[in-house]
Parts: sequence; structure tokens; C-alpha cells
Amino acid sequence: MPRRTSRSTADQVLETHDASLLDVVDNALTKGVVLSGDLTLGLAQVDLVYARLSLLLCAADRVLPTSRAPRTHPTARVPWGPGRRRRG
Amino acid sequence: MSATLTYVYCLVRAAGPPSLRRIPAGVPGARSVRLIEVPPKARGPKPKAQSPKPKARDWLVVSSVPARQYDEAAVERGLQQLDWVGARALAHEAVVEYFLPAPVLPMQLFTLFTSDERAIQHIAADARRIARIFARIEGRLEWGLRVTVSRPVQGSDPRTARGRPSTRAQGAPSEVEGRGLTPRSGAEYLARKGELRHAGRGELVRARRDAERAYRAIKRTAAAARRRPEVEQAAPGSRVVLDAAFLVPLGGRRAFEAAVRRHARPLARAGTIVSLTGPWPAYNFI
Repeated sequence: MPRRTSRSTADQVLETHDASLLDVVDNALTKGVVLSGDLTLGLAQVDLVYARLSLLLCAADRVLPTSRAPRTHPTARVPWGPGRRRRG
Repeated sequence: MSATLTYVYCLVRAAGPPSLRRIPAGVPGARSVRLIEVPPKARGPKPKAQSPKPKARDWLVVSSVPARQYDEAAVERGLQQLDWVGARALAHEAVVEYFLPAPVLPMQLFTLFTSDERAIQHIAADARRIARIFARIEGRLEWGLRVTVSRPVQGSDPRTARGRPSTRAQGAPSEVEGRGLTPRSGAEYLARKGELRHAGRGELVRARRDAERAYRAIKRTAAAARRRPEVEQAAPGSRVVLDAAFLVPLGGRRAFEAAVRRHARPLARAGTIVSLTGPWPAYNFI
């Protein structure tokens, strides 16, 4: 995302965070179109991922400043925190 | 089970095969990303006469992955390791994003089939739903807007925080000044603590109201908008007062950004962070 966001005018006027790893995982894991594929993820497994993510992010939050943290991966920077995990 | 599985990233609608030049590598262990054209008969109801691109076709974006790394047991094991999931989520997302702003239907992470044919079959079985989703998101992109309030920003420590003038100790003025603001009793400490919490809540109420107003104003420039429930952030005391997704027409980006500047920017101040992300695939509108 940031490669495009960086060019947006909104970016210049707002304190913009890059999409976090959690956002990406949340979107890809729980909001993508579900085809009844040969491998369908159980909700229990997805919940497990979130439990672990929350732990990691709580830890990351104590280590990193909340804004302007050094960029590691463009989309893996600012922790947004847990939540938003239910399928629509 | 076969030695390789078909990993599906997304479905793209385009008149001709989308270019794969400089496409990201795909999930770890995958062979190169490739396209499979979805046969027209598998696409469900024919597009209506007024459809602007009657010749658009659907392309499955896939790569072959080793079964040993992506069968059910492997994924189940992998889901217990955050690094494993994170690396694949980012790779998956990178491939999906590569096709924007074309209409893209992102698949759920770890959408796997035993063969290309099985993938096509499943697309065919879901053709109606897929057609509906494309109709909703075609020519539009998603943007995310989030307003986060960190509380308490200052005066969080009742040992040093100022109370309101009316509730300050009524003792000898010199003593109050001289001793600073250190509470002299447990009751006073608790009273100040309660006051601080109260003050913080008032600010939170105001922040929510302002965010709600901004959301409604910005929504008018979008084709669709969604709010997600307020959540407490990983940082203790920090609250997301607005977590919204907007579906914005490709031609309406300027108007949308202008609305964001006008209505959301003023919310950013000490202790409040306003962030705009995007464009995203229309995850929240499928």
C-alpha cells in the first residue's frame, strides 16, 4: 500500500500510518472471498492466529514508538491492535 | 494427494490477460504466478446489454505450490506460527494488490485446490455470487480511515495531576502551593483519580462525536461506507474511535481525499492520530 499512498495528497496532510501486518492478515485471512475449496480454514484456527497476533502486537507496542517507527517492511509497521476479527 | 496444489490469490476481470511483468513472487515455496482463464460458461449469468465492458473475461491468478508445504496438516501447523502466517499474508496481499485498480476479487488466505480444474469448478459453482460482487466493486477501490485516541495523554498520575480548582484542598494557601499537588490522603488521591477518569471520558465522548460527524461527511463522497466496532488498541488506554472503510469510485478519488482533508484532518491533534490507508482491494465490500 505505501508505494501508492505515498503519492496521495491525503498523505501529505495527514499523519499516515502504513497498513499494519495485522490489517493485512485480517483482510486476507478473514475477509477474502471464501470458495468452498479443498482446504477450508476453521474459525478456531483463525482465532488462534489472532490470539497470537495480539500477543505480538502488545509486545511490539512497548518496544516501538507509536508513530514514526523505523520502517521494516512497508506493510508491517504500526500495530493497530487486536479486534476486528469477525467475518461480516 | 498430488505433489503440487493450486494456490489461488484472486480473480481478476479484464478484457485480455493481465500483464504479469514484475508481479511479486507469490507465497513462499510457490512456482511463478500464472493466469487461468475462467471459461465463459463458468461465469454465470450473461452480462446485461448495458454493461460497459461486455467482453471482459475473468482470470484466476494462481501458482502451484508443493503439497508438502501447503496441505491441510502443513497449514494447520503453520497457523500456529505467527511468522509463517504473516509472511504468507503479505505475499498473498502483494499479488492481489498488483492488479489494482482492475476489478479484483481477493481470495481468502490459503485458498487451495488439488488441481487447476478443481479451482475452475469451484469458481463455476459460485458464479452468481462472484458476478454480484464484481458488479458492486468494479471501478471502485477501498480506502481505510482510522481515528485513534490515546488516553490519558497527560496528567495520568493522580499523585501529581492538578485537581479542579473547586476541589482543591482548602487548607492554608502557602501549604498547598508549597507542597505542590501531592495528595495528602488516600481519599484525596482517589478523588483526583476519579476526576481524571471523568475528564478523560468527556474527551473520549467528544472524540467519538467528532469522528462520527467526519465519517458522515466523508461518506457522502463514497459509493459505500462501513464502520467497524470500536476497539481498544494494543496500547493500554488507546482507543480507536473510528475505523471505517470507504468504497470510492476511481474517478472520485480527488473528491474523497478533499473530504478527508476537510473533515478528518482537523481531528488530528495531540493524542489523536488520523490515518488514511489505501487503495486496498475492496475487502470490506465483498
